[in-house]
Amino acid sequence: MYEAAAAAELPDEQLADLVSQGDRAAFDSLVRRHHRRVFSICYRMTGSAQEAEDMAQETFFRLYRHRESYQTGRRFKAWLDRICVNVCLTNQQRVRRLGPVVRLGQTDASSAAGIATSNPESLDPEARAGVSELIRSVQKIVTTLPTPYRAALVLRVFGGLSYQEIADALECSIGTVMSRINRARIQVRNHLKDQQ
Amino acid sequence: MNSCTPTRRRLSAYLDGELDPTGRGEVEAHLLACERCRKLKGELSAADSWLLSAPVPEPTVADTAAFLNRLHKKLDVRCPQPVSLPAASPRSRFSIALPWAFAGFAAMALLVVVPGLHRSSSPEPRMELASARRAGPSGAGPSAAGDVTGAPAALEEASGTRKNEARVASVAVPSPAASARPASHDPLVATQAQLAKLEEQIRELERSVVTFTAQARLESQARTQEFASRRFVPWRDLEPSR
Ligand SMILES: [Zn+2]
Repeated sequence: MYEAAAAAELPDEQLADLVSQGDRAAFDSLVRRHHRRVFSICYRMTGSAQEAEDMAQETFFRLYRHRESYQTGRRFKAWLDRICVNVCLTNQQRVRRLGPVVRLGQTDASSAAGIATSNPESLDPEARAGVSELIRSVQKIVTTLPTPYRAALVLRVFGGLSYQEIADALECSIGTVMSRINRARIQVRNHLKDQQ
Repeated sequence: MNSCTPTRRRLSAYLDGELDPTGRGEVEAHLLACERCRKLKGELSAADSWLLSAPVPEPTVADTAAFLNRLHKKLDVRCPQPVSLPAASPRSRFSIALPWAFAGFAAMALLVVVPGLHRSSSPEPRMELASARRAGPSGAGPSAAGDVTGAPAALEEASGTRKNEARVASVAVPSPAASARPASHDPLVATQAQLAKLEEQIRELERSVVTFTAQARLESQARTQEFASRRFVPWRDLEPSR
């Protein structure tokens, strides 16, 4: 047994090893450490804070359920992101089939503007509206990218994964990752040009 | 124009630092010579900056605690921790597999013995049994059935109801020759379904116990508060004045 405080010091990979043996305290440490990051990827993928929260839940739930499939020595983040993206992609298919549960709307973007700034009161209403508009605009273009492009771009730009890790997560070649990210960026750039 | 294509295809990889030295050199050489590609490179960088400029809602520590709480509830219901032997080999599946194997075996024995005891007391099931026997495979000889039902039969002999039970058992546990039976008649499948149902009931009970405990705690807290907020007349004031 080890102390929960000591768990906070361990690297992700060691905690993942403990989790694979059913250690719930180690699992909790990993959740605390990566909740923000997973939430942010889900948010970029879905465009909705509420949906992102559910996707993040499902991600960690699946991670624990499939804990024994973690391979010792593998980079934990890449494994986590792979699960996360798969959850989001599955959700995407479900949404396409059944329609969205929550649409990106005023509430999500404005609440995001509130949460994202440490002190929302410091923003005057105009600046706040500006941030809301920016968030909505980014989410709109990101969520309209074809799903494979979006997944690759989100993992690169917001997740900071290497092309190799993205290739592992999306189960495709590095060449495919390269072209998907490039096309996604060009679409975003075209969108910005249209706006000007 | 054509000479731009290889560079344009690799621009993102170049920006992300994902090209090998040769590829990087080629792209850089082209960028020095081509203004259009330089411009595109700048625009792709700007696209990234624009994407990153939009804040994402950031969960607070309290949000994460609530998130974890919700996750625990989900795990407790859908992924309960196995009751296993002290952490000698936590990866071992025996902690789950063994009790299941025992439960399956025990339930098999029950299926063989209990329906027999029940059926011998009422006439209708015996008719059912007779038709089942008629419909059953004729090739299953008495010796095969005897082999399979040997153990239960010995048990039942002690209770003095051997004759009926032996026949029941020969239906409940078909001979190995009759292994191509439909799955719905497989006692093991039926037993597993029953066990799964029981397990679900146990989980349901566990959930209601948790809910009940939580409610009881809330009620007791409310009562304590109510009690504390009351104004009591001190004892001494109630005593008859001297
Ligand atoms: Zn060029």
